[in-house]
Order: sequence, then structure tokens, then C-alpha cells
Amino acid sequence: MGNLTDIFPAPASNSVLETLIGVADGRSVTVSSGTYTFGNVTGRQTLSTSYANVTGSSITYTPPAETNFVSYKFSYKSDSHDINYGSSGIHHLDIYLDGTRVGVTQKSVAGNYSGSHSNNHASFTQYMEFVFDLTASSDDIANGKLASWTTPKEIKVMARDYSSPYYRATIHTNIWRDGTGTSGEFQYTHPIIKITSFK
Amino acid sequence: MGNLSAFFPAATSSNVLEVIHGSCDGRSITVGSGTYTLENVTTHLNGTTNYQKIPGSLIAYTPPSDARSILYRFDFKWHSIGSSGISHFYVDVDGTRINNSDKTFSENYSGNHGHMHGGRSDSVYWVFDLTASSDNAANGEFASWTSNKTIQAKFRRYDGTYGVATNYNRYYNGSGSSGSTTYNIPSLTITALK
Repeated sequence: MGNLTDIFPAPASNSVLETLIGVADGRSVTVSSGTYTFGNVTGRQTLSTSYANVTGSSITYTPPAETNFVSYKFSYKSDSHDINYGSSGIHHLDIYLDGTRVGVTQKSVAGNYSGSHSNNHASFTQYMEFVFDLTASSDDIANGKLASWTTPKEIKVMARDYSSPYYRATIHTNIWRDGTGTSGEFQYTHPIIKITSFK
Repeated sequence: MGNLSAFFPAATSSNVLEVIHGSCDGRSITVGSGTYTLENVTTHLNGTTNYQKIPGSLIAYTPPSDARSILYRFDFKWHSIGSSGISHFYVDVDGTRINNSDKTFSENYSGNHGHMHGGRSDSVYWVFDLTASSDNAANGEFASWTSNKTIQAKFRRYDGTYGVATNYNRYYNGSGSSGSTTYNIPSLTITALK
């Protein structure tokens, strides 16, 4: 006769409570804390000198009860191309939680300045990532700290251009494909969101 | 005597079934669904105007039976070998291009095609949906995935002027790279979720 633990082995220790991953193409994903519908990116996004929601970055999330940390990672494509003079494509981004700017997430992204504002080829993947700390004694959202998170909260990214008409960016953009310019659905690419809740 | 739960604690509620994550140096990784050997990257690869596999990006994978989605993520470095380096990338599953995974990467054009300083870490990725009612590989959707499917990232240069090499360091330690410093080892991550 074998040991009882051969039949009922102890589960492995795991601090990951759940992981929610999806492409922002309108899909719905069910995890233990609920069903979440991702945004549906259907085109490029042109920024301006005022902050605007980055399409595909928003998700309204409630972590599992035992969660101590929530990691949010938004992967998107930056492009310095613009209808006028994107130049190096300088743009600024912040993560927001339920409408409050999480100031410690601020980031500026750009390609290299070429000496000509119309040489705007810079195009690459970028990330906005932050781990919210749910073990704080009181809420301090500007620093990403919360005493509790038991109801749905919207996490999103907001962005703006550095200036106008120079140093502008478009988001989710593919200008070229297969050795030529893009058209139709190939003009944009989908971002992804990954949320991981840890205890 | 202790509590029974001290000996047999409740399983965690995590929906993460398994994670394969490693540098592409030929290592083998064993997870619940099997043992996977990552490719061994020992050099860079210049882009051509035909699509080629990015070395290190290929894996033949069968997820656990209760998987409902799979994240494939390949993180690598590129460096220009022609002007701003415009190049095209996508994720391929069993020979089918996932159209919405298309990405074009480049640095800014300097006004001189001989200026090839642009080099970045970048990634290509897709989240496969295994809850579809029928297979649609071009959208990364499958009704079932019970045997090995080959996933890889492919790339090509824009034309004879603009292009990159993947896994490439053009410069190193204040000079041009040479020998083992010419390449950078990428990493591959597969996350299976239920």
C-alpha cells in the first residue's frame, strides 16, 4: 500500500491568484474573479496635445479577495508618423486608476530626432506597466497604493503629444507592411493587456 | 495533532496552468504538458526581402487539456543594417500568418541611409483563444488544440535599402561588435491559462 500523499499530493505553493490576458479585439475572458471584456481597437489613434484615453488600454477589474498586488501591463505600438510632422514622435503617458492619475507611472517615449521633422520612421513596441500595492494602510492612488480593492475599478492609460505640429505620435500604427504602404485593416495592430493578481 | 488542512491545503485558485519562460540558449524546460527545448541562438540573422523565422522564436507546443488561452511572447533585439531599419514582423502558427499580429518596427530616418544606429528591444506576441467554435488560425482562434502546433515569429526587411538584423548588436563596448558580442539571446514565453 502506498502513502496517502501519493494519492493526495499537496498542491504546489503559488502566489499567483489569477492572470487575465487578452488582445484588445473585443474578446471576453473569464477568470475566477469574473468575466472581462477587452476594448476593441479598430484603427490607429492620433494623439493631440491634450491627454486622451489610449484605445484598448482600459479594463475594469476586481481582483480576487486575497490579493496583495495587482500587476497591470499594457503593450502597444508607438509610431512617430503623423499627417504633418511627427518628427521623433515624443509622447507622454500615465496610468489612471478609477480616474486618478497614478503619477509614479509617468513615461515619455520617442525615437531619435533625425534633424528633419519629416523623417518620422520611428516605430516600436512600448509598455506601460505598474504593480498596485493593496497592502497599504490607506489609499494613496497617486502612488499606486490601496488599503483595499473590492469593487470594480477602471485601469487605463492616457497619453498626449509633446507639441504640435512637431513631435507627434500615432498609436497602434503600422505605416508599412510587406515592403509597401499599408491599407485597410493592416494600418493598425492590436495592443494587449496582462493583469496578474498576487497574494 | 494538527489540522488536516495543514497537511492537505486547498489548491490555489490560480488560472495559470503552466509557464514556459527561458532564454533561447538550447535549454530544456519541463512543465506539466511536457519537456520543451528552446532553440539555441548563437548568431544574428540579417533580414532579406523574404520572410524568415527569427532564430529562437520557434516552439512546438501542446497546451494542457483545460487551457482556454495561450500567450505567446517573443522578446528580442533588432538593430538596423540599412537606414532606419524598416522591417516587418508577425506571429505564425502551423504555417498560417496571424494577420493581427503584424508589426512594423524601425528607428527614425536620419536623412542618410548609411546611418544605421537604430537598435531596440522589441517583442511580437499573440494571445490564442481556445474557446472558439471552429478553427480560424489567421485570427489565432481554435476550437481545440490537442497536439503540437508550431509557433514562430517571422520577419523581413522593407526593401534593399531599409532593414534590420534580429538578435543583433552592431556596437559593443565603445566599438563595433565582433564574435560573440554580435548577437543577443532572445527570450520566449508561453503562458497557458484556463
